[in-house]
Amino acid sequence: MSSQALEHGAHPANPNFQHQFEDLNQQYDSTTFGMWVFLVQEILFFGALFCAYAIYRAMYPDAYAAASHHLDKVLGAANTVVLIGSSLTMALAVRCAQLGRNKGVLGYLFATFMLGNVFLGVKVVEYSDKFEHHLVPGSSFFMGGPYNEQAQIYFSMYFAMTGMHALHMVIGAGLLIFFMWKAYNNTYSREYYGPIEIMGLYWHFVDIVWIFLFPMLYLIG
Amino acid sequence: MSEHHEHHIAPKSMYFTIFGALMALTVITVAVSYVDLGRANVMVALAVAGVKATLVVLWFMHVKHNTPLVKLTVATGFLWLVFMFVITFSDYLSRGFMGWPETWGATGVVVPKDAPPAGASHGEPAAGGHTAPAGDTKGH
Repeated sequence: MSSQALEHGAHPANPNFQHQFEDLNQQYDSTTFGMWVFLVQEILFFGALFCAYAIYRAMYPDAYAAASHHLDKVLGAANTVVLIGSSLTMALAVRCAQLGRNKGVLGYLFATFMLGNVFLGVKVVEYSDKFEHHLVPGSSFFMGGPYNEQAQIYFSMYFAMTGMHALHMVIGAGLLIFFMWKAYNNTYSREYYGPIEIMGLYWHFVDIVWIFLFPMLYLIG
Repeated sequence: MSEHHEHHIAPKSMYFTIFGALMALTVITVAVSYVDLGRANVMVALAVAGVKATLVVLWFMHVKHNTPLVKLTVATGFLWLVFMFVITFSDYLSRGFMGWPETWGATGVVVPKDAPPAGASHGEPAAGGHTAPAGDTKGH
C-alpha cells in the first residue's frame, strides 16, 4: 500500500475513499463517531428493558429469586466465557485490520462468528428447555410454588431481554459474514480499516449487554 | 480534525490481559452468587458487571485512546441512562411515602366545588356521580 500518497492535502487513491470526506482520516473519524451515536441509542434501548426489569424486581423480589432458580447458572456462565472470548477474537481482528493483515482479519472474524454461533446454540438449548418445562409465559405456564403468577413477569423479561440480545447476535453474525468476504478480497489496509473497527464496536456492545444480563437473570439469590 | 494522525495500535498482550481480567471477574461474580450477602449480592453483581463493561469500553472499544468527541459521546450515553433510572425510580420508590388514598380517611377526601353543601345529602352519593374519587372506593 502506498502510504506516501496519503500525505495531508493529497487526494487518496484508495478505492474505498468516499468523496464527501476530506481524506481517509476524516472518513474514519466521522464513521466511528456515527457508530458511537448509534450505540448511545442502543444503550438507551437496552437500558429501558433493564429499567422495566428493575421496576418489577423491586416489586416482586422473591418471585424473581424463585423464578431465576429455573435457569442453569453453568450454561449461563459458559455462554459468558464464550461471548467474552468472541470479543477477544473480534478485538484481535480489528488489530489485524489496523496492520493491514487481511488473512488475520478473515481468521479472527471466522473465530468470532463460530463463537457467536456456539452462544446462540446454547441459547436454543436453554429456550427449548423452558418450553418443555412450561416456563414460557402464557396459558400453559406452570412453575408451581407461591409465586406462580408473578414469575411470569420474570420470564417475560427473560425472553424479551435475551431475545433482543440474541437478535442482535444474529444480525452481528450476518455482518461478520459480509466482512469476512470483504477481508477475503483484501479490502483492508493500514489506511482503511474503519468498517472492521465499527463491526468491533457493535460486537463489543452486544457483549456488554450480556455482561449485565448474565448476573441480573441467572445469579439472583 | 483532518490532519494526519497515527491511530494507536495496542500490542496483542494488552487484549489478552483484558480478556484475563474479564474471565477473573466472571469467576468472582459467579462465586459471590453462591454466598448469601442479602441485599449486597445485587450491589456486588452490578459493581462487577460495571467494571467488566468499563474494561470493554475503554480497551476493546478503544475509547481510552480516542478523540474527545467520542469520549464525550460515550459519557453522554451513560449519563442519559442514569437519568432514565433516577427519574423512573424517584417515581416508583416514592409512591408509598404518603400512604395509599384508600387509607387517608374522611379528611383526605377532596370535595369538588360543585358538590352539594355538606349535610344536604349526608352519607348519600350526590346525584349525577359528583362524588370525590376517594369516596368511590369506600361507599360501594
